[in-house]
Amino acid sequence: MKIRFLLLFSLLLFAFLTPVSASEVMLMDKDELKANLGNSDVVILDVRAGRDWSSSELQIKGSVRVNPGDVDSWAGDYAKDKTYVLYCA
Amino acid sequence: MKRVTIKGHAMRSIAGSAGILGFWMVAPESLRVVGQASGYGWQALLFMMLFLVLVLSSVISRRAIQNQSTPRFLQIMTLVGALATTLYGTTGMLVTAGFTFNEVFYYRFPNFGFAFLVLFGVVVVQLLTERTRMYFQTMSVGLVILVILVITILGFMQLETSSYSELPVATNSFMGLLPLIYIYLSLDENPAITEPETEVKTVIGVITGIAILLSCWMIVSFYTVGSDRLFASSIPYMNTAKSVLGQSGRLLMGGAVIIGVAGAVCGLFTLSRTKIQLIYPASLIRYRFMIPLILALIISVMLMVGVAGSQFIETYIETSILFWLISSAIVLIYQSIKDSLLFVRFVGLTSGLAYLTSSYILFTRIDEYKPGLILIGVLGSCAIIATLLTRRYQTS
Repeated sequence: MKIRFLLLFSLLLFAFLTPVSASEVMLMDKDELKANLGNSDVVILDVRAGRDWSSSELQIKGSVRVNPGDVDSWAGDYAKDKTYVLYCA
Repeated sequence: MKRVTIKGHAMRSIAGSAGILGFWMVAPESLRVVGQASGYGWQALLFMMLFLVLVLSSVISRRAIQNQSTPRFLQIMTLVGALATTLYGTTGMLVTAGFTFNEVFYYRFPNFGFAFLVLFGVVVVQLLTERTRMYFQTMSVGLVILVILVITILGFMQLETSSYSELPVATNSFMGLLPLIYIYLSLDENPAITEPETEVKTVIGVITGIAILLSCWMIVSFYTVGSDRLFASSIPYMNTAKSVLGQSGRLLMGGAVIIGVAGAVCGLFTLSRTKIQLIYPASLIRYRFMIPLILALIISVMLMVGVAGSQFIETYIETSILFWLISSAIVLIYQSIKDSLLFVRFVGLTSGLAYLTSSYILFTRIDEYKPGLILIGVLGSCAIIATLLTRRYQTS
């Protein structure tokens, strides 16, 4: 019984630790983003998928929806000298 | 096979039966399918009634079958289907509830946090008495039905009489209407159907009543929103509510979605629990309280690792539902063949085969075929392993 609980606990711990890897990506807070809305050098990409996308009624003004599972097909369409803001939830 | 009796007054009343039978029919998952199908006009109503006849035939056969013993592997297959639907369906629906609360009611509240709050609430209800659980479910289904009814009546009042004759026959392939069969999920082997204490006419009345209400909702959706928007939307129920009542409709429907999710999750938990107890009676006492906790733990992990945000989530949900439907159809066919009454044999076999065919066609239409097939393989393997590992629990 103890082993089963240990396994479940490990699973839970793993789930909590997963987002840590995302900390290497630069973050932009909502005020900064708000100030940049309409800026032609800032491209907002809506990379929500699954229920995050289909359950939502709203979308950030000016954002472009792209498929996060198919980066290769759209990554080449964007210039490298711009700032890209990706949001997923 | 032993029967698990769900006691309590709620079970025997029409309202109580609606709570147990209707939780999935009015869940946001079903409202989405119904809303998208509305775009087909008259064809949608025809298919709605066609599936209603199919499901009622299946219900009548199930009640009439004398010997309900089924090979253990088939029992476990339906259990695996139900569990997979509970896990994936709940994960998806909780996120829907989270987004709805965040976008409709209070944007500062994190959607993820709200999803967990709903899950926590359902687990608490699951740990309370059986009667409380039934009342909660009846209340939640009743509230959603009330919201749909109010919006439908107001929607009809807004329609001009002359426009009724304009409901067209859509030119799209009728295949897009087959998902309507999803809304009848959970009716097979639902305790309200297999439980002799609930009269069969109550069961038929409740299912038919909700199906008629949803059909009226379809007409209102079609006229107020329009085919193109209904086909394209992933939340068509919101579009209909907004078109009929504006912001008030959005708020009403937002509340109904959250309550509907809570009711549906609670219903799926109850159904999974009942099915586990039917197959493994030893678990009745020892693990009764553990089942909702374990389900909630797995769903929490799935939420945290981002299953709901996966591009395959819809495939996983649909595949789980189809696995369950196909398993149920096979059980019905098996029991019908074994029955001595010719009428039961004919009706059961016909509805079982129709069920099976629709499910198969739907499966072949799943967008992401590969992950769907992998999941079918995993679920089938789980059923085989569970059958082998639990041979000592054989009861029938």
